[in-house]
Order: sequence, then structure tokens, then C-alpha cells
Amino acid sequence: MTAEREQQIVSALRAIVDAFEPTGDVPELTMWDLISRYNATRQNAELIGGDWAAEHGFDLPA
Amino acid sequence: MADIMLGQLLHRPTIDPISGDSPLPVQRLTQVAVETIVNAQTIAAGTYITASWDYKGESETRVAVSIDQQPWSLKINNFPLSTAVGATNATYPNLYGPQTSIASAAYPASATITRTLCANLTEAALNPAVGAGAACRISNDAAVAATCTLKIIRIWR
Repeated sequence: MTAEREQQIVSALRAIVDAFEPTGDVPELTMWDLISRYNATRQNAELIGGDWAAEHGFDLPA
Repeated sequence: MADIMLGQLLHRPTIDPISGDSPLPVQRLTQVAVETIVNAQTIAAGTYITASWDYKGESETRVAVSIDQQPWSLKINNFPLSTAVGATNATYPNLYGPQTSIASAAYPASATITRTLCANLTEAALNPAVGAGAACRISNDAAVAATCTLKIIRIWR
């Protein structure tokens, strides 16, 4: 994966984190919620998951 | 002679170790530990992932699956117990058949790992698979990628 692509993914994940608002069903953003929402964009060609996100600075509960 | 001695032994006064006069100190302690085995892994459409964990002396192990696509399934290999009883997919409820509901991180699909395939909750409670670690395979049979988290809940009673 190129550095540019890595940055694209990090930016996409950051946008999901920033847009999150707690609800009754999802009171806090978990790593599962983050990756699930990223997968929903159909842009996850690299099949990144929670471990990748954690390695790139996303500190969320499992 | 031997019979007489046995009779004498049977009639000897004994002390009830758990009577009110000499209570035995007993402390029952229930502990629970939740471990994340798979952390938001992406499973490509029509494929599966595997995971395993060791045994830490727990009395019961439960699995909790969060997955955002369906159908999916979870097959347990509770080795070596599974070899002994001939069951390789034993959880209650049985998650090996196609699951047609998604399960979020907040509300995962949970099941007890059992020694045998169980028909009801009582059977499952009486037959937890203990004594060995386990492995599992989580299949994503949907047409798109799925996000999956697997946690295990270890319970000591």
C-alpha cells in the first residue's frame, strides 16, 4: 500500500470518527462501528480491519 | 474379624465437617473475563477467518460475535473434546447453521461452547466445554465484505 493510499484511508476513518454522534443503539463508537462504517462505503479494497486502524492511531474500544 | 472391625468403624462417632458446630470456611467466587479475539476484522465476501484461544481453567466459555452482514456462521472446534464426543460445531444456540441476523458491537450474538450439540438451555448449562482451548471459523456468506469482532467470555464459578 502506498503512503498516499494509507493517508486516504486514515482520512476516511477520521471523517467517520468526527461525524459520529452517540445514539441509544450506539452509545460509543467502537472499532467495530468504525470499520463497519468504512466497509459500508465499499472503498475497503485492502480489507483493512481494526488492527490496521489501531496501528494508524485510532484508539477505540473493541 | 474383618466384619467386626468394619462395624466398629461404622459406629464410631464422626464430626460433620459442615455442621453448625464446626462450619467449614467456604468462599464461592465468580469471575468473568472478556477477551477480544478478533478486532473488527474485514472478511471478504464468501470467505472465512479462523481464530483460536487457550484454556485458562474457566468453568464456561461463551462466544460473542458482532458482524454486519448476513448470512454468516460460526463453527467451533472445541478440541480435543470435540474428538471425544464427535461434535465439532457445538455451541448453544447453534451458530453453525446460516445466521440471518446481523449483530452489532453493542448487541452481539452470544452462545455457550458446549461439549455436545444441545437441544435446550438446560442441556447447554450442564454441558459446557471445558478443559481445553478452542478454535473457530467465522464464515461470511454475504455478497459483500463483512466486519467481524469476536470476543470470548470466560466464566469461573
